[in-house]
Amino acid sequence: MESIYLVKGLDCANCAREFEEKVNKINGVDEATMNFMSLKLIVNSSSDCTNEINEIAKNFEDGLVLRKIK
Amino acid sequence: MSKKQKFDIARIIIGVFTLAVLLPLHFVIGENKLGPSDINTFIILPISIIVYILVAYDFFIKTFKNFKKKRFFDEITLTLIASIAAFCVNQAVEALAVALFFQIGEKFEDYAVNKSRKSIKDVLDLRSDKARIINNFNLSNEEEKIVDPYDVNINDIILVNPGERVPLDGVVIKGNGFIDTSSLTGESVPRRIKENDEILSGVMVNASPLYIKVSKMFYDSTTSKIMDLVENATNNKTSNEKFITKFSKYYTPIVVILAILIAIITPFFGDFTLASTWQNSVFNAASLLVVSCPCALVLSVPMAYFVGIGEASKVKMIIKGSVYLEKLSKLDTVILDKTGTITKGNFVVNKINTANKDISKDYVLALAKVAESNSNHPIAHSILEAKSQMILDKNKISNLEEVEGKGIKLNYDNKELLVGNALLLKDKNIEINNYDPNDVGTLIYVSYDNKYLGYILIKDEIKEDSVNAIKSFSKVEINDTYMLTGDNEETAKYIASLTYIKNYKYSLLPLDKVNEVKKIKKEKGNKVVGFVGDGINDAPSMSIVDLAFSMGNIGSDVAIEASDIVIMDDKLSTLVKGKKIAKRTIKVVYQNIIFSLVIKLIAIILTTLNTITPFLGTYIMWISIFADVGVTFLAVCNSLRLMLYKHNKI
Repeated sequence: MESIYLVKGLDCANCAREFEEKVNKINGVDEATMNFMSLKLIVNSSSDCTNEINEIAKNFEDGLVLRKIK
Repeated sequence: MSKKQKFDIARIIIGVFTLAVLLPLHFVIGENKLGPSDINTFIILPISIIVYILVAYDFFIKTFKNFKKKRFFDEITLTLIASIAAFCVNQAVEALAVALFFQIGEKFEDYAVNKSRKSIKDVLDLRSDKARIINNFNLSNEEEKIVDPYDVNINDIILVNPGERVPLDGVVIKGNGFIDTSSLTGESVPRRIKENDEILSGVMVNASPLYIKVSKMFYDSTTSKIMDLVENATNNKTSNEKFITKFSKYYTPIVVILAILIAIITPFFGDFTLASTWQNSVFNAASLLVVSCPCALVLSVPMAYFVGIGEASKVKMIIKGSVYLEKLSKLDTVILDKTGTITKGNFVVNKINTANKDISKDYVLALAKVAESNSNHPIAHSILEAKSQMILDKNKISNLEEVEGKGIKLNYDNKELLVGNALLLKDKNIEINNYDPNDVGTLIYVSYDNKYLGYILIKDEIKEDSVNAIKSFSKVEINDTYMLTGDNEETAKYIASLTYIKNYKYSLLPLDKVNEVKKIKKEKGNKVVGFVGDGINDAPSMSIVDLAFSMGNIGSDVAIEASDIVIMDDKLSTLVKGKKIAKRTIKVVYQNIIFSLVIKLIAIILTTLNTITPFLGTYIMWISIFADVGVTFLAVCNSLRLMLYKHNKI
């Protein structure tokens, strides 16, 4: 399944890449792409990983907020 | 501007002034020891520390948080370590410069990112932020309420006043007038709209208010879809983006490890009992940390793609992702569907040729019109649309019969009227004469009372820009153009000759088309082959090629789904403009990759050499600052440069 999140609070392009790397390591995530320009995180996964992704966001940077839009 | 932004700018200005004063002191007086020897300790160091704290105090907070979250390779943390290391070896001005330029870089990046985001939003975001909903429509207690468009449901009635954008897709149920579709299609001629017409969100209502019955939820409406297309359509990365992701993953740790090695190991190769040996190695390690962020690449390359896609949308080309932009830049062969792509797809009566001078053209048309009055076929439609002076009475029709594949046979005023192709007349042994061989297109013959009267030539018009666009294909390195059509040989030949297309295939059934496309694709091997069609009938062909373009069906999900690139204004010249933009974008991508990599590599090599023999001394830090902030600045500017071009010419 494909989920799309709107990500707010990422400081820099390299942080976005680091964040993407971490989301990619979640069990069940086939591929995650963080687009720093459009601020969207697109996740292809076998099941809904919203909780895991939120957990990563919380531990990654203060003020990082995800909103699931699809 | 928020308070925080004002503060940030203020401290940057203070930092820059301080640096401007301290630098000459540092290099002329401090370094060359012209002035008092303790100028460094009593003037430069204290001032630097104060301004440094002002400029970089948030680095400490951020680094503390990072450590708690076990993030050690964050650029702010590394910058902080580098600047503290510089202080430790008594290079206060360099320490201040590292922090200050980092802050300036951050501010600039924010500005650039916002600017490019805004530019794409301005063009593409046609979504309205409110809708005027009408409760109890047409009842005495009718009332108007302004709501969030997300809250409007299917079958709700909304009112759109002149000068407003239609917020949701729907059908007009009351009112008529003109709409301006230029935001969607680029077509600036107002279009007539009347009751029962479909209306797309994003268009502007011109003359009078329209009541619209909503047919799609807001997130499914055309405007949301267009925005979505660019923002989320694909998560495929181009090979360049993949390379950068991979490179960045290893780059920072490798540079950090190298810096640690330089700081700790290299002194043992020299005279490690001397403080200056350690100072030199620590300073070089610090300047290496300054180049440890792959920011220039990670930011400027996705930004270039983003800006490129935004620029394409300015010429009404919606590209579903960076992968397709890259393919577009390499587009080598284009396969064009004829009807609706090269031609307008609306059939128009082009000419009426009568059997002899005594028969009036108007009479032939009037007869055809009465015969076709109940037909739905596009050809019949074109005849009915044509203007005639004479209007015949429909009540005189009897025994109307449609002859499959041939035309219509009926009695008019009790005499036989035939309207159809040559076969229909041949069946009745009616001879056709006075045929003009220049008349290429669909021919509808009319015979009345067993007498041949003439024919109506129906043509699909070539779009105004098609000829010029196809001519300029070669200018943008589209080397081969094919035209495929289900039409007859004459029509295909005619259109091909007008548009200078050498390769064309005609009389193709839908399956033949797919086979032709397969053949061309095979022939072209690795070259990028594109197909341009309406996206609905051509979906099978589109799935075979490398790059599928659709035009003419903005509102259709199928068309958008089937294609990689949507040409909203239905013009082939947009393809030419789009390819130019794509090529320019990819060029910027490569420039940025090569430039950033080369400068970073040079900085790393120089730092390593400087550790062995300090031939650059403390200047190495300035090189590093340039290789980091300077390169990012230049690369980002290079990406933003893509916004400066005008796209009106092909």
